Amino acid sequence: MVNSLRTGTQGIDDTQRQFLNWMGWKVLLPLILLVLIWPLYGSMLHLPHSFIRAFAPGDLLIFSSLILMEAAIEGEHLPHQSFASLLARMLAKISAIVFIASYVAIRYTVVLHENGLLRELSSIPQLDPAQVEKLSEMSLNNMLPYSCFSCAVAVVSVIFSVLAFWKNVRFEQTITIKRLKQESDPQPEVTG
Amino acid sequence: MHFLIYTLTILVLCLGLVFAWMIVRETRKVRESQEDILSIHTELERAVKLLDSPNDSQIIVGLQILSTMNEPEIRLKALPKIADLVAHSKNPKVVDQAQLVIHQVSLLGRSS
Repeated sequence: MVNSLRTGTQGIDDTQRQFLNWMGWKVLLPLILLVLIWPLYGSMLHLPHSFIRAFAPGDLLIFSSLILMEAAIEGEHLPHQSFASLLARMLAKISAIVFIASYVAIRYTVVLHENGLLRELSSIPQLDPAQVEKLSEMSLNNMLPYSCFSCAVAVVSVIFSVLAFWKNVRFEQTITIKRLKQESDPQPEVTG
Repeated sequence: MHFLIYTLTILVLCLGLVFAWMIVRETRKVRESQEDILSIHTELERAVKLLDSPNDSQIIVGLQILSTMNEPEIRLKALPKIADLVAHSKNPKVVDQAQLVIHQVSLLGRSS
């Protein structure tokens, strides 16, 4: 994310370019590709409850986990980091692991819901379309909280990683300023 | 269970708002630090230009700035001019100050 910080106006341009590159390729592109499933389900496939169908499986949780891990690892090499910064990195890593675990849990629950729905449908001797619709809607509505949670986690992960990027940039700037303002070494005895 | 997930979602979103506010604050600080770095660079570039001045006091000011700010790239760029001052300046103060900067540059080379 942040490799080096040049000085002057070039520094601003470099940082902005780095930010846009990172944001575009590592964050926005995968996010857009994942989110595109929603309009695809809704507008093209005309599936009802496209939001729930798109996000309930929790794919966004994997994305969030990767983004958080990346944000936590990036800039770890920087020297003299504060305890708060180290703690934030550690928490980000733990959150990433927790999100992966919750992905597994959500996936499992969604599969159970789908399985339950199939079993319920197969237990009905004569399928009535209205009844199928009702059962399916009930099952999908049960998955709505998972979709909301996945989306919220993805949004916050993106925000966190943007914050981590700027924190790293500022940390590098602080190092640069300290180096620039550093008093020179002991003066030698010079002869006039 | 659903209530718990919704509560978690709201908490996560609140955290997101806090992070967003921190981003605004952080970008402002980044801009300020960048301006600091820029002003230091401008000052150093001015110091290098002062070395060409016909006025000895101005040269000394330039050398003093170069000796107090630790920017290897600009110091090295100015090194031939400083060496020239050591060799050809008739003012002992200028020679002293120039020698000091050369000494600092040499220390820098050793430490790196």
